Amino acid sequence: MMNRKMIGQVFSLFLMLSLSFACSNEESGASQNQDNFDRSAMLVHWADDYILPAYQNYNREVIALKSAASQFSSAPSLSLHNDLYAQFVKAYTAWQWVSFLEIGPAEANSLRNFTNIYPTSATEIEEALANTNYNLSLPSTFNEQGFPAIDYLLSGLGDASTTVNLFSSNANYGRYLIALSERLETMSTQVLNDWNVTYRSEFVSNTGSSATASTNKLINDFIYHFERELRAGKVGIPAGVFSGSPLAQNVEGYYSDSLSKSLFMESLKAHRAFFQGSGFLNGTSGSSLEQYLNYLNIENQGELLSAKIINQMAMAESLGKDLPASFSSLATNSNQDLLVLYDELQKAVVLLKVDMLQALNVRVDYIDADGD
Amino acid sequence: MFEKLKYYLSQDAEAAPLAAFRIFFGIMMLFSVLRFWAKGWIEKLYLAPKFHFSFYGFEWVKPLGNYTYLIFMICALAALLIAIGLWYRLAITAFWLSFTYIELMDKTTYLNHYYFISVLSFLLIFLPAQRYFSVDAYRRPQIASKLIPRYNIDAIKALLFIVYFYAGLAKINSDWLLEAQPLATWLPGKYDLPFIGPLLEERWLHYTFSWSGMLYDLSIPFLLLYKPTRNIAFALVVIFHVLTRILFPIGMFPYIMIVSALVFFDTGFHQRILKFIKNLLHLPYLPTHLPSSKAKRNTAFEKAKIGFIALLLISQILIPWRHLFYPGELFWHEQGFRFSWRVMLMEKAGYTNFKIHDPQRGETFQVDNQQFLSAFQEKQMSFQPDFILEYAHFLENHFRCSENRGDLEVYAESYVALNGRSSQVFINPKVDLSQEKRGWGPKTWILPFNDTIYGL
Repeated sequence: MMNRKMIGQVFSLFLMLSLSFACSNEESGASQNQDNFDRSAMLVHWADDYILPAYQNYNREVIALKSAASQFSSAPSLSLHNDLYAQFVKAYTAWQWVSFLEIGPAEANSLRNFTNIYPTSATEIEEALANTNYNLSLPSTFNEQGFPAIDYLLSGLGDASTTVNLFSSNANYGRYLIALSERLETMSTQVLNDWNVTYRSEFVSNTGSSATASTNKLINDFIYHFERELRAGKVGIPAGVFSGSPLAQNVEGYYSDSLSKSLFMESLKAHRAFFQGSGFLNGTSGSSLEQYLNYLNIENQGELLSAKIINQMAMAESLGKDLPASFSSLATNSNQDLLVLYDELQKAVVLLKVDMLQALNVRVDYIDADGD
Repeated sequence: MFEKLKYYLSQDAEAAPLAAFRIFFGIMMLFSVLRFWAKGWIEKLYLAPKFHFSFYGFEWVKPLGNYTYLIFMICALAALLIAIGLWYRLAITAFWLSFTYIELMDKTTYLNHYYFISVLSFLLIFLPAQRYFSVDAYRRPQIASKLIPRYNIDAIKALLFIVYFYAGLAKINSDWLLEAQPLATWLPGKYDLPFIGPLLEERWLHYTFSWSGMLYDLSIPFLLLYKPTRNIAFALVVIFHVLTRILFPIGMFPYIMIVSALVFFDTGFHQRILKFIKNLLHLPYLPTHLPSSKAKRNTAFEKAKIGFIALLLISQILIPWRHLFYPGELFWHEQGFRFSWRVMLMEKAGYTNFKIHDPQRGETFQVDNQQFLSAFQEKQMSFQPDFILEYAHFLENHFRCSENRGDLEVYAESYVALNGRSSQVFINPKVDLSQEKRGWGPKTWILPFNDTIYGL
C-alpha cells in the first residue's frame, strides 16, 4: 500500500538531488555556532548597565536643572544665567542617551514628545508667558515645552543681559521656566521610578520573540530613533533634505546656536555605545547587538555586518568632528557638508534597517497582521 | 477519450462530502471575518491609511469609509448562510463578491490564502452544495438530492491538488533546498518556544524542515487521493499545519487547509460528521430516499457550469507560470510572483525613499513615507516594485497638486535584501518613475539581482 507513496517520494527525491548537484555552488551559507546566544543576558545588560544608569544620570541632571532654574528665577543675574545655561547643556546632553529608549514608562508617558520637540514654537511660548494659564500635560503643548522651550527662554529672547532684564522685570518668565524644568524633572523621575519599581523585571523577563517582546521593541525603537531623530531630525531636516531648501531654524538647540553639533555627536555616541554594548558607565560592557550579529555570523559582502555598521557610525562621527559647532549656520552657509553627513547616516540606516533587521528576524514594529 | 470524459461527467457521487465541506467552509469563514474584525484590523488596515495600494486594473476598488464595516458584515452573514445552507447560491455569490472586494481594496494585505479563499468561493458558486443537509434542501425538497455529479467534488480536490503541488514545485530552488533559506532566518528567531525552541537554531533542522516541507507539498495531494495512504496523509496534514501555525504568524490558514483536506475522505466519514451535527443540534432526520440528480443532466445550464469549472481549473494551472514571460530573477522582481502559491519562500526586506525633483523650481527634496503610509504599507512598498511605482505616481500627483507645481520627477533610492543576502540597490536611481507606466510589461527599471537562485 505504500508503494505509490514511496515511488512518489523516491522520484521527487531523485529530482531534488539531481537538481542540487546540477547547481551546487560552493557557498555553504552562514554556518552558525552551536552554543546558544543568551538573549536574556542581553536584556539584563541593557537594563542594568545602560538604561538604568543613563536614566539615573539624566534624572540627576534635570533635578540640578530645576534648582538652577529656580535660583536664577528668584534672583536673575548674569552669573546665575551662566550657571543655568551650563546646567541646561549638561541636562540636554544627558537626554541624548535616553532619547531612543521609548519603551515601557517612557512610551506610556510620551516622554520624547514632551521633552524634545523642535523647532519649538516661539509664538505659543509667548502666549503662555502672556496669559499664564497653560496645561503642559496636553499633547497640544509639545512644542512649547521641554529643552527646546527652555533653550528659547535662555537664549532666544536676546543676549544674556536682555534675558536677565526680562526675567527681573516680569515674573511670568521665571514662573514659566520653573514650570518647564519641573515638568522635565517630574517626568524623568516618574520614568526612572517605574523602571526601578516594576518595569525592569517586566522588561528583563519579556524575553520572547514576538513583536511585543523587549528585544524586538527596543531594537525597533533604536532603529526608528537612528533614522528619524538622528538622521532626519538632527541633520536631514535642517539640511533641507525633505523640503528642498535648508531649514536652518530647525536644528536642535537652535537658540543656543552652538549646541546642535555637540548634541548630534552625543546622540551618535549613545547609539554606538548601545549597539556595541559598552554600557553607560565605564567598564560595564556586555552582551550587545554587535555580539548577537557576530554570533549569528552575519556577513555583508564578505565583511562582518556588525563591523560594517560600526565603521559606518565611525565614519559619520569623524565627519561630524570636523564640522563647525552650529548646524544652523552650516545649513545656511555650507549646506553641502550637512548633506554629506546625511548620506553617511543614511548608509548606516540601510545596514541597520534592512540587513540587521532581516538577520535578527526582527519584525518591523506595530505590524501584527497575518503573513503566509 | 471523449467517451471517457462523457462517462466521467455522467458519474454520480454522494452529496455528503460537499455538504460537510460547505458547512466547514462557512464556519471557518465566519470565524475568520469575526477574528479580523475583533483584532481591529478593519480600522487599522483599511480605514486608517490615507493611501491604498491597488491591483492593476482594480484602482476603483477602495475602502468605503465606515461602510467598509458593512462589507465585512455582508461577508460574515453570507458565511453564516453558507454554513446552514440557506439561500445558498445567493449567499456564496455575496460571499465571493464581498470577500474579493475586501482583498482588492489594498494589496498591502495580499496573502496567498486570501486568494485561495477567493478562488475557492468562486468555484463553490457553481457547485450544488445546498442539495444535501441544508436549510434549502429542507425547505424545498424538490432540490434535495443524496447524489450529485461527481465532478463537483473532484473540482475541489483538483483545486487543493494544484495549491499543494505548485507550492511544492516553487520550493524546488537553490535557496530553499541548498541554503535552507528563508527558514534558516526565521526559525532561530523562535528560540523561545517550549521544547523545540533550542533546536530551531540548528542548521540540520533548517534543512530537515526545508526538504520535508518541499516533499510534503509535492506528495500530499497524491497521498490524499490514494485511499490506502489517506489516513496517514491526513495525519501529516494536521502535523504540518499545526507546526506552521506554531512557528509562523499565519492566522487561520492552517485550520482552513486542515479542514479542506477532509474533502478527500469517503462519504461514510462525512455521513458520520453530518449525523453528529444533526444529533448535536437536534435537527430533523435526513430523508433516506432522495432522488439522484440524474434527471437534471445535459441541460445547457449544466454544460455551461462544467465549462466554467474547467476554465477555472485550467486557468489555475496556467496562471502560476506567467512569470516565465519576465526576464530576471522572479524572487527579486516579483513579476508573476503573486497568485501562484509561492508561500513562505522569501525573507525580503527593503528600505525605499523617494526623491522628488521639480525642474521648474529647481528644487529636490525627499519624501517622509510615514506622512502617507502606515508602517505595514511602508514595509510592503519597500521591496515590491509594483508598489514602488504606484506610490511614486501618487507622490508625483500629490506634490504637483497640493503644492501647485509643474510636472515632477520621482526617483527611488531603494535597498533590498533577499533571503539573508546583503542588501543591494533595487531600483535604478536614475530612472524617473513618474514616466514609467503601470502594466504587464517588464519593469526595466528594476536593477538585476546580483546573485543567482536556481530552480523553478
